[in-house]
Amino acid sequence: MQLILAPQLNPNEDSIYVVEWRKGVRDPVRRGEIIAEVETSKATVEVESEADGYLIPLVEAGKAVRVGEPLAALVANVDEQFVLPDLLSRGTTEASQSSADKRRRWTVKAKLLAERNGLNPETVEIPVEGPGPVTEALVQEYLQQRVSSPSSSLTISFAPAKLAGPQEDLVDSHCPAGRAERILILGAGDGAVQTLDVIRLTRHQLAIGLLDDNSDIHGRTLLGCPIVGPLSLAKELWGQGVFDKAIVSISTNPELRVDLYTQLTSQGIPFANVVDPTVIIGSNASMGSGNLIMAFCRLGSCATIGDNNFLSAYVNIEHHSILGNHCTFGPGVMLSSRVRIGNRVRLGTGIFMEPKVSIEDDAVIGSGNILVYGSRVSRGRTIRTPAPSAAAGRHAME
Amino acid sequence: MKQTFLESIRESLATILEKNENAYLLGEDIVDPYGGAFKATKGLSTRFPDRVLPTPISEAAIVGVATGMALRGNITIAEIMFGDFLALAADQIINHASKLHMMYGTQLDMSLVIRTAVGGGRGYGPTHSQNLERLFLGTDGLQILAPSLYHSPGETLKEAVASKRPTLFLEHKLLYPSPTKLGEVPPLWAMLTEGRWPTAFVKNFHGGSGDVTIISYGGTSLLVDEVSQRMIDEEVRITACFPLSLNQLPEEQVLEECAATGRVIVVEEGPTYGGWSAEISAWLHRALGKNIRAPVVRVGAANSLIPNARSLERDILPSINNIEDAILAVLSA
Repeated sequence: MQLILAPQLNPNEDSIYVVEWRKGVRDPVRRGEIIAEVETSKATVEVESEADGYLIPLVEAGKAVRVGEPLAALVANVDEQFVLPDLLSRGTTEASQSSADKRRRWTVKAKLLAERNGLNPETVEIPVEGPGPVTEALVQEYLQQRVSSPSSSLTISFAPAKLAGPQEDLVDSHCPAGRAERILILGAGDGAVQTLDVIRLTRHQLAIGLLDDNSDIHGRTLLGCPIVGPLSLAKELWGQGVFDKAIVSISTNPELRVDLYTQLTSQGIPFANVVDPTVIIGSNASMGSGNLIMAFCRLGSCATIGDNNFLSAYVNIEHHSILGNHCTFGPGVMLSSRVRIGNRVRLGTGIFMEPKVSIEDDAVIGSGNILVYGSRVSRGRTIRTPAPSAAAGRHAME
Repeated sequence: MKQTFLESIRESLATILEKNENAYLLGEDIVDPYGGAFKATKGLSTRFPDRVLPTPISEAAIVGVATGMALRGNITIAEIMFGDFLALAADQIINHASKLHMMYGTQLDMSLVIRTAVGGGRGYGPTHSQNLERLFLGTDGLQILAPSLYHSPGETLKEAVASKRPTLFLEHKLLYPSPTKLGEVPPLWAMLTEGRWPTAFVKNFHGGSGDVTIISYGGTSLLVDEVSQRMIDEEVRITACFPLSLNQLPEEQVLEECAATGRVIVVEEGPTYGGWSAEISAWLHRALGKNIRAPVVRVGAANSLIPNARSLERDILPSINNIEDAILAVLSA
């Protein structure tokens, strides 16, 4: 018995159509005789028999056959039995599975969940009933069991049990009057170090924890204060009554500063003002909430500042001046009287303003600028540092 | 036996010619017995000898004449043998067909459809395998349609003619022999939206929310389909969106599906550089806002020649592996 395979008539075709058979079932054919007409997308072609024999067409007229697959068979005798060999058996998948490949398959979702929780799919053993793969649900179950088991060595990325409400504190629970405000600090970078430094000096505030999206530092402490988890944990901690007020310590990412303040206040979380004891606050001066005011700043009489501002050391907001929200000041910014500064304004260091200067929203004032009487800086405008004595090759205001 | 993509087109061409005395087909080698390079017009010149017109080898002439005839109120369907040859007709398409009916004070209806076979995967080489439709994006006045595995190309063709607007109609070569998958085809669940240019939404899961949204069009639906099926075993829940129109995207519906997962992949067979996926991705980044959970990942061809040799062609064109890598990327972000 011999098979005639569907020919490759041009390099672009994977299959050909049988137009018609020129010979019938078990007709005698000689080598070279035309047995069928086949069609590609370009032309029709006649197929010849490769040998003598009795023809058994294997593909119906009008149907397609893949190139290389059997088109017809030739048998030596007219009544010879013919059975199409099982050409498709390329070896069972069980046989091809090497002995090294004994590990159970994990689904993509199972692997992702495992990796996100510090489990290595290559080494962790998760029991599976039946032949199926390790699924996400099974990994989920496994993780939950590990969390609740006391001998678990899995480090959990946050530990809410570490922070307790004032009800747990032996002093606060017995003498609640005048207890210190528990402050949650958002951000655990340099700004947080400054914030903690200030809170250490105030008797009425107590820093109870920090949140930061850098998961590498979760579980560590900053000046003895625990870094508890990511920024997104704030809402949950508020729900647990673990803190009284929050403060954003981030000063170098102004957009994040604004976002955090606005998001959390919209969720009902109150913000504290964290003010160094050396700060002088004049008569009838006022401020909103969420302001961070470093050492030796001054608010002159009747000066007003809004919310969520960050003032570095030695900033003077002179009498009758008005400052909006979400502004950041470098050290040594000197305002004179009746200056108005809008929202989200960024100021460098060593800036001097004569009276009645007006700076609109989103402006940026580079270090060392002197703004004379009545100057107006329009919305979004950047005033660069004039002739810096040394530049690091980067923008003066970062 | 289910009707194939090609048969659907051929049948609709016949119906259009039958129902409209003023309908004409123009193209190279479209008459019988050859019946077109891909056999789309086989049998039609026999039935309608005066209205199936073979042309000289000049794509500019084909589109130009078809445009003129359409402006005079005829229905013209011009066949550009390979989408790569659209370049030869580019001026006629961009500066004439798309604009003449609007430029001169009077707005005219113009039933001109330019049909062309696009895409690679058959080893046809650099100038017979491309997807050049991105060169026509942003041409106001031209609607660009690309039926996928889930659309009826024949119905779309009839709608295109009925819309009386100059249309570029993209037929992917690999789709020609496929039966169209209309309706629900387990293990995937497919749904077509209402409207003139329906979008197909195909999910590989039932009930609950998806993990990843994949947006694609035309022939790439074959790849995305296969990936969606493979991902069932991996528990990755995929919602695929196949818009029919490239430049009239059903924004609200697509946005809803993308916002539901927050993780989007855009797949096209053309190069990602400066392509349709760049436009969609830019739009999504702005429109999704805080619903984005991972940056949109784009999958497309490398910005390179498409080789003749099949093995080399496979490395340039987007593959199942590329899409699966993209899925992992958006899920891990």
